[in-house]
Amino acid sequence: MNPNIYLPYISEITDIKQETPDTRTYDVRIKKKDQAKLFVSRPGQFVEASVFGAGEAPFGLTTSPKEPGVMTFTVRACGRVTNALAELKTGDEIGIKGPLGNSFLDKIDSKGRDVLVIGGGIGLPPLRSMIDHIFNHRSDHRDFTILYGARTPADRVYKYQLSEWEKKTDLKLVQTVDVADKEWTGNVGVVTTLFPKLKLDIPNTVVYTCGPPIMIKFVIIELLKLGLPEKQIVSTLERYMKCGVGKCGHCCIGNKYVCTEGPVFDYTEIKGLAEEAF
Amino acid sequence: MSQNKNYSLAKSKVPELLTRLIKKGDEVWGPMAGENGDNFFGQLSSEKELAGDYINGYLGAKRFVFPQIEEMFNYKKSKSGLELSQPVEMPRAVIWGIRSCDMSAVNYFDSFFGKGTKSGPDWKSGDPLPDPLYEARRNRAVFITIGCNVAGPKCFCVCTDSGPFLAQGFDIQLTDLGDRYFVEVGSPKGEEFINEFKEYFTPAQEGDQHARRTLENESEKTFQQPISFFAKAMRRMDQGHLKPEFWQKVADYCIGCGGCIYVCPMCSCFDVDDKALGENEGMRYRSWDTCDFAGFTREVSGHNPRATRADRRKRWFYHKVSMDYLEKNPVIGCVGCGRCVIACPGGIDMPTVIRWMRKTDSENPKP
Ligand SMILES: Cc1cc2nc3c(=O)[nH]c(=O)nc-3n(C[C@H](O)[C@H](O)[C@H](O)COP(=O)(O)OP(=O)(O)OC[C@H]3O[C@@H](n4cnc5c(N)ncnc54)[C@H](O)[C@@H]3O)c2cc1C
Ligand code: SF4
Ligand code: FES
Repeated sequence: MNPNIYLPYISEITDIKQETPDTRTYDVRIKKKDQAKLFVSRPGQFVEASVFGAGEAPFGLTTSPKEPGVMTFTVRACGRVTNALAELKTGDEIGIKGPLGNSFLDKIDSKGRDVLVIGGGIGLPPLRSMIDHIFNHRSDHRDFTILYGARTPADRVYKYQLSEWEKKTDLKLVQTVDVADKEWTGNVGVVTTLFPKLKLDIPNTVVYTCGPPIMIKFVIIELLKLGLPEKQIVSTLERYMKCGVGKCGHCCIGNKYVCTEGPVFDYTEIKGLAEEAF
Repeated sequence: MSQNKNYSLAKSKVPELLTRLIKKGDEVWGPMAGENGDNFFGQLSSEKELAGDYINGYLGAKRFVFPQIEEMFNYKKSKSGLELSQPVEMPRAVIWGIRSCDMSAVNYFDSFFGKGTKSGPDWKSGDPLPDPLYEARRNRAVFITIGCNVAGPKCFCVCTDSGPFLAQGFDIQLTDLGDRYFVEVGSPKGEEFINEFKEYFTPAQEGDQHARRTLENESEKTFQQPISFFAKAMRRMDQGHLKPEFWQKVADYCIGCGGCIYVCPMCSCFDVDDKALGENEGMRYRSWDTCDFAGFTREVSGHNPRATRADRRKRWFYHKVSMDYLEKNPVIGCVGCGRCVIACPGGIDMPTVIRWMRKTDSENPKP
């Protein structure tokens, strides 16, 4: 990453996909070759994206990179920066700082184990990079399950991807929504209601989760009840962030800087903090 | 420091020295007299603005190393695309007459803002990198501190090992000996400065070193609030004696003004925002921010991990004096300058709350 931690790389939006009425996926490329070379991300890392005049905001990277300087992230429009991003079109320029933070790969090794991914709403995109990683190393892993919960069927991101995953034989995808619509034939209820339906090999499962704080909180409570070892519960923490590089103090929880020491933590690292993590 | 690194500076020469520095184009910062008998640290346009004998004002030398509002870069949109400005070279800054506590706070900033491996092959994702804005300011500054012969009425730096005189961490330290300053050199940068202005610095006079020691001992007797014994308070916090009731009691006195943080020389949290300077250009800047405000942590969903004033009061003291933070950086987050004692309308300043902490345990959760 750039030695001047505050200076973004000028980058170009190369493609935009509309996911839901308020959510879009952006493909982005860093313009200068020498800067692009420095950008190599690992699953779980994030970037700070700038729309100059509106500011910058953090977004989880959704792909394991195919080449340096290229990235994808998915954004729900909900505030100043995210609404400004929603106005942009292919070819427009933005600023990118990153890759920032640590990786799922810095935590317990999932090789040789069952993998359970639990995503809520806009929490699926940051998990996507890890899902890719597992697919790329599929034979190193045993059973692979993804649970995805959203408020309504329309709020689900990556619908095209979800229907593809549904067809896969080496992956079990279970979806649920809080509120169904007429066409929905799947599960209704929060993600934790899916747990009893799973046949989990508890001692040999690694869980990766990301979603709204309230979801993560109950997911962890339920997993602990099932007896899952704490180190095998791996979660990203999302805090209100400003600088993304360990200086502004906004993301601090207890004595941890989520932007540099996280966003990925296992449960042993967040349980004893002086403050509630969720 | 070895004996031969000590000098003497006649007070009568100081106006001339400062005038020369200003004429030369150096930024000269020092304590300036305010309009109402107060004082503040600021950039001098003439040595005449220098405050005389003074007790530290609200705004200290933090204003230099970490300005309240600081430009990070400029952006410009044109037909050929976006362009970001690069930092410009700034002149040397001479920080004149900074007190020991404020110098200690700068040294603490070094360990926070300056921290991290440089970028390069040894840089790992997740490692913090040094703050380029801070480094640029720090590197161009020469810090000339002055020991305190008499403590201010609210000072407690004897409890935090950050005054009234310093053993290290300065470029040059002055001691007021009446008609002259006893001058100690603490760094190569200080030595260089003295070499550059040799004509003002004469060898230290016989007995001055001894006089400086005596003054330090005498000064330590002038503290009116040596009540902030941190160690026991920190243990109380570390061992989980401080229950929600404790923080609620503290919060009951807090009006949430953020004054304590505004005046604290060690508080370094900031906000980042963009400001348009026309249709196609603008700047990104940072400005002081505080964990005392609810918006500091409120997420877009409305979820706020520190929703109550008690959460936020706890946060401030936790960051400053918990063992958890000491593990990361072995300096407590207080230099005993006493500013929060003067600023807080609720009277829940650092020494007061430290005293409450000491007297609190699980059986008596309310101070
Ligand atoms: C590591 C990390 C990864 C992330 N990954 C993604 C991702 O992949 N995709 C994604 O879409 N998002 C992601 N987010 C969240 C995303 O960063 C935020 O949505 C974004 O910062 C919002 O910025 P904004 O400028 O649009 O909002 P702002 O203009 O900053 O608006 C939000 C702020 O305004 C105030 N505010 C707004 N609404 C309310 C309300 N209802 N009640 C009270 N106050 C309110 C709050 O102060 C709030 O912080 C991630 C966050 C983190 C920390
Ligand atoms: S100065 Fe006092 S009242 Fe104001 S925020 Fe600080 S503790 Fe609260
Ligand atoms: S976001 Fe600024 S310190 Fe983490």
